[in-house]
Amino acid sequence: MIANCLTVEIAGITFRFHCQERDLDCAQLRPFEKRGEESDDQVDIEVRSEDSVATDVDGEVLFTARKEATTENEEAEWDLLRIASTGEEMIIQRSGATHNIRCASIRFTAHRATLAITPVRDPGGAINPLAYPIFNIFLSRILSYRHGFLIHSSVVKDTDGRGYLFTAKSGTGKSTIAHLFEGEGATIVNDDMIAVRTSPAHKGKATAYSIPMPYYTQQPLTAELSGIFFISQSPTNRIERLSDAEATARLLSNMIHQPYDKTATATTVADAIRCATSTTGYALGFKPDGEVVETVRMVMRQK
Amino acid sequence: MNEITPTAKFRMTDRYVMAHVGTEAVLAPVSASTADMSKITSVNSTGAEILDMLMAGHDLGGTVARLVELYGEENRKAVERDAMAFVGKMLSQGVIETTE
Repeated sequence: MIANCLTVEIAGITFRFHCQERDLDCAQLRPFEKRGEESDDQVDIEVRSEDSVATDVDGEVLFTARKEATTENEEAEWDLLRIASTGEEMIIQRSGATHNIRCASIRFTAHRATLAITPVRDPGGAINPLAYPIFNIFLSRILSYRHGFLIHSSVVKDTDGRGYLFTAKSGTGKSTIAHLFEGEGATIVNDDMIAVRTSPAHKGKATAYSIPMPYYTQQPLTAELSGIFFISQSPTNRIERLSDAEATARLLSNMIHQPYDKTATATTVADAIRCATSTTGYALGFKPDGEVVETVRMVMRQK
Repeated sequence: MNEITPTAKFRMTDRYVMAHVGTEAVLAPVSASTADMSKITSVNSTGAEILDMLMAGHDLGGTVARLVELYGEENRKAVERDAMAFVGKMLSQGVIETTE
């Protein structure tokens, strides 16, 4: 799983990682490896290991975000900046060490990036370029340039090929409902984080993609979305169709995005509208038993 | 002065983006932090129509008069009440502001 150069495809975008000083730990990226033909849409990522990440960058802070502490990570805070002199964007993780990264930064344009990582320990060994959480923030920016977004959600591809996306705040049951569908023959695309593309290349359809996960090996999977479900826990299974506007608003609330100015916000809203109008949105109250699977299937068959 | 009077005119603030979705609309805050994400909201077709008329330069009285034409004179009181409540909510949320 060690290399100093690896080309992968994530959500239909080619990423070429390379590092001169060290080997890359590619365990989580390897299933997404891409071989063969060149891509017209490639992001070249130079990975560096540095003793400390520069935080005194001369840039305008566009957006600041904070992630609460988890069992695996400290509370994290990061900034999205614009470097006026070069037109680049930059994400700096100012706090929030993970198990293997003390801090990190990534400086990028739509097709080129420099990722600087300061490992917690410095054994001189391989470094994992999936720096959590800033790699996901970077990925959300790269997707936003290409009619796409990241969303906290689970997605299943049902036995008839239809894709269903379930989204809600953590702890509501995104993973539970995905596993209930898996028990009835569906395939889980991912049960935590999903990339969605709505570009013209996707013919007006919203397509869900799994992405590499920092703590376990994920396979590259896709599903064309038919239904989007905004879930809540309920003593009974109940389902209510939402208007496209309501579905759009709820999608935006669950997406990872950085609406720092009118242009960025309008772009994100347009992507959410394309997703909502090419699928059907529902509010789904569910109790964690297998009946919810039949409830969803019945509604989608009647569509 | 964000007063709601029949002659009051309004404009969108810089703090929100409005996008039409069919006859309805989505209002998304332009923000520098994740704290404002809960302010994303949708408005129904009547709400979208009120905002469209206000943004087109109609005053509140003219907007209500147009809605009464649509929904009937017998519904005037309900239309006036609902339109005032909606505009008040949009003002307090920072979506719109009165013009000078």
